[in-house]
Amino acid sequence: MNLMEIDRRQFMLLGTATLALAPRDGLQAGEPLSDATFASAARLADGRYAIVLLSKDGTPTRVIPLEGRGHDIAVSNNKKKGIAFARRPGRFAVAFNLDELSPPEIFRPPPGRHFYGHGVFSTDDRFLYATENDFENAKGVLGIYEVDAGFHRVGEIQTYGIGPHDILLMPDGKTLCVANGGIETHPAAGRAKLNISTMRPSLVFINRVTGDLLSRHETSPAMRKLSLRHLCYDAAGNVWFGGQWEGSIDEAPWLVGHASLDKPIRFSAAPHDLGSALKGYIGSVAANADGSLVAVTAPRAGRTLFIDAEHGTILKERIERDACGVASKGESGFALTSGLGSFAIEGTVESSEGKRTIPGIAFDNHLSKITG
Amino acid sequence: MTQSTFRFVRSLPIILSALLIAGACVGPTRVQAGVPTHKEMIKAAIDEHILPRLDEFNKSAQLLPEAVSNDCLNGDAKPVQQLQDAFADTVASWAGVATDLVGPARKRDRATRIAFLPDPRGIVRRQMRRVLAQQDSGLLSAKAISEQSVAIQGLPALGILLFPSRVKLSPEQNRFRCWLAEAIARNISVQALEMRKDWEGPSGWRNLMLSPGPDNDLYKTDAEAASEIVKSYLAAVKSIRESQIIVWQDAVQAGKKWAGLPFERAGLSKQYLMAELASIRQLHEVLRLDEFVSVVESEESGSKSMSGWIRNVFVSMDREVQQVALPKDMASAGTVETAPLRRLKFYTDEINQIVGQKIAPAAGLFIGFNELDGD
Repeated sequence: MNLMEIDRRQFMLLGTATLALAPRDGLQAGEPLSDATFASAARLADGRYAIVLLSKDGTPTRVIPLEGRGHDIAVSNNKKKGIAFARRPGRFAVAFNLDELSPPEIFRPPPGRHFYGHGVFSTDDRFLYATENDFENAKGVLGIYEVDAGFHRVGEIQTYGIGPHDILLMPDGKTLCVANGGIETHPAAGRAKLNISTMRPSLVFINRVTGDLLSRHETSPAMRKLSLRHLCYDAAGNVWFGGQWEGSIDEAPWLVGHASLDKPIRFSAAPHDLGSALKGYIGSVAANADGSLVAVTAPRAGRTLFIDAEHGTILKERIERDACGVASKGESGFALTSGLGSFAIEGTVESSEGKRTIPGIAFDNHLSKITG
Repeated sequence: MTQSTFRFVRSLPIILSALLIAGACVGPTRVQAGVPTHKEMIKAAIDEHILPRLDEFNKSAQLLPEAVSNDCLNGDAKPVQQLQDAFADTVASWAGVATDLVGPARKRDRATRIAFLPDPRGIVRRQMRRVLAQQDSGLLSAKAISEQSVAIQGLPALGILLFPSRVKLSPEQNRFRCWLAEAIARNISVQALEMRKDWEGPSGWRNLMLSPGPDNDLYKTDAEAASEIVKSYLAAVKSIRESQIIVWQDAVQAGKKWAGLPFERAGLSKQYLMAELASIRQLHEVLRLDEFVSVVESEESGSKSMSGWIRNVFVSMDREVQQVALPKDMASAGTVETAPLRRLKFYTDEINQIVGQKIAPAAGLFIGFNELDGD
């Protein structure tokens, strides 16, 4: 095992320097940046929240402050911008440049909406689609923001469900896939879930230009308490989801499945008690670069499973406390982060390729790949 | 053993892997001499807190249908007051259960059926208005109620019926109100009884939590079960902060008469909050969490003031909540006093941080950053 530790003081110095955008170690405002391979929201040692950019080996290269806890980070297709979204029910998003050091830009949804923590760029990077809550009407919407117009909100389209969470732009560049988690929340009740007994999660495919619903898949009535939340797609274009079970933990079903525009939801093969063993919760989902493997993290159980996308079988697992963030790495592997500050590389071979820990930092649910 | 050990799981040795992670997570069962073991914490939480609180609620809930039946239709002031007192007792005893939503409380939506809370959009009120307007006699049994929306099955719905508005009801409307109240009360009593039963017996939740191991699907180690109890404690504190204290403060600042607090119409919001905080304090004490403060202090030089703080925080919260007035009372009096609520907000946040990030790890319990309430 290759365990490297970054000195906490060095990390905080890096944070302080980049928080203030002060020139340091030859880094000047406006200067092109490189070596940022991954990005994650995080809690720092002093309790503040931030975006942390990481090199390919997990070395922090830049820290950007957030006003509250972040969730996922959307990366533009040209790799020039990243957007960190507030965790539900937050009302901020922070846009930052990946190609040069410049002050981050904060934008917010209009009154009556809050972010759900995820978003995606259009193929040409002109628009950003963010999952949002129209909380007075208990409806999910996608806020549409024009990137080069200071993230001006130019409209919204409905998600045909409650509690939209993760969102994907499908390879055709026109179709958005949204996981409607089905859980109603309202900022006046914090993070409380208001409709567990009647929730109806769904996976929807939407034309991003017209807002038309192309298809909508629901789980069976017995599975309606499985909130569909995190998404990725595999080599065949199937959308994989990981869910969180809102029923009694001893009744938790298997949490991972897939669907496509014209194929209903199917659950991949797994032992019957695996849902309970994973504590009813999948925190992140990612496919590797060639789409042959899907990784799902179960932070409550400290387990990450790697699934053969073609056959739906579980190939291997990794044991690590609070591991949640996962992104593809290299040709076929994955990078993983945890709430305990670890960054690990997981190949497809039988042995670990390395792990490092940054003391005091807690990486949030998701790890986003920028390059590599 | 390392946490980064790769293992092929074509044959899925799930039990073994769960034991590996559990072992890696929690370290020794007894962290330091003198502090409780995880097993002792679980047993104390169940036997000295969860089950006695549940028994108290169950007792109140079993008496409630009879009280409704005897007193609801009586127009005199005394029976009405008796019934409202019985309801207040049940609400207060429910607060002691609502802060520990472990196991049976979450099965078949029982906790939500008993109390559809929080309800920021006033769903209970709207649905009850519809039910009262329709006067469907098919709803007048516990079974029929249990098949309706959870919003009309529990204590908040019953509170609307037992603390009616000043609108004059016809005798027929009044009879329906009371019969419906009795059906809801009977449903609550059924839910309470079932919840209590599910803790008992060899396959009951008590045994499940006290008998972790490879054959236990839910708890492989004592630490897992103890962590779940502490997580429910932290979730309750967070929920009280977000859906009561902050909501209350916002309403007062905005000069609103109604905040949408639990049991606000019955005038019981303050009592409910006090009962919740008292329950959390008792759980904190039976878990003997304070005894781990010395572990934290021995490891962290800057944490010497923690023991004093944690010892006093529940007393301080009790003092603050005594000073809080309902939004309608403040609006009527023309006063805006948010200082106690601001302090309660601060205290609850600090409890979550200190217990979640300092005491629980010192107790060998792991509360992951990414696992507490999911997203």
